[in-house]
Amino acid sequence: MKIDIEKKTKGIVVLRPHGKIVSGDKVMTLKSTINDLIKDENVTDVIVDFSAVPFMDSTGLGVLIASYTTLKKGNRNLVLLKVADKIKDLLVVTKLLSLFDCYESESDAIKALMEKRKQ
Amino acid sequence: MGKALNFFLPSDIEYLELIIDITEAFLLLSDIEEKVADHVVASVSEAAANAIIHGNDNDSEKKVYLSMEIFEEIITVTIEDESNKFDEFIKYYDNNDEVDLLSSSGRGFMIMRAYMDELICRKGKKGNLLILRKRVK
Repeated sequence: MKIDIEKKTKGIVVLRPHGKIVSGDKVMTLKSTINDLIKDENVTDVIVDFSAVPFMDSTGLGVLIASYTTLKKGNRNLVLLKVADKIKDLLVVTKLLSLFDCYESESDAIKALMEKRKQ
Repeated sequence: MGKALNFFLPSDIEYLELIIDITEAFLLLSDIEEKVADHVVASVSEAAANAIIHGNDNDSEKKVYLSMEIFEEIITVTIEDESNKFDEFIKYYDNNDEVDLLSSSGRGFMIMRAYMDELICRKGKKGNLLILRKRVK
């Protein structure tokens, strides 16, 4: 699975997976990529951009939850960007929509993360 | 006239995307409404992953058998593994809606129950058999 990583301002990183996130190698690639970012002390917050993700299964959700929890413990954040309705629906039925902040634009996501730091 | 498709694949998680692609194509060629198709595809993906990982213990010597049928406006999908652990299968089926919010696993049946109209699990000829049904409209 191809995953682009773009470093933004002040420790914010945008992760852009391409393709379906399903059990097996693809979900493991996502997991190890996020884990590498979590280990990097220069990374404060992670934005996962879903604009090129047409499908995700429950193991993909599991990776997001585990990453979110680990980052939260270090007072860091993981937020979602451009989530397709199909995947948002999955977050609703699994009662996870309240856990993840979702944004439609990268600038809104970055702004919200910067605001969170002030709190 | 109804449409039907039967196939089997080695029980290897790397075939999961192929199962998803086949299911998507079958539903697309059957002119199923997009949202209904999305729900069926997501459910088949969860059921097939369960069959491969939990039912067949990731043993690629085993197989996963799938059938799909659209008849009288009802989509029926069956997924069967080659497991002899029916008690464990029933346990997953019965208990899976109680998941901690922050748990990173255990949402497969929750998704299937939310997306499908009917879920039946029984002992099949080869192993654990899961039957998923959904009305087309």
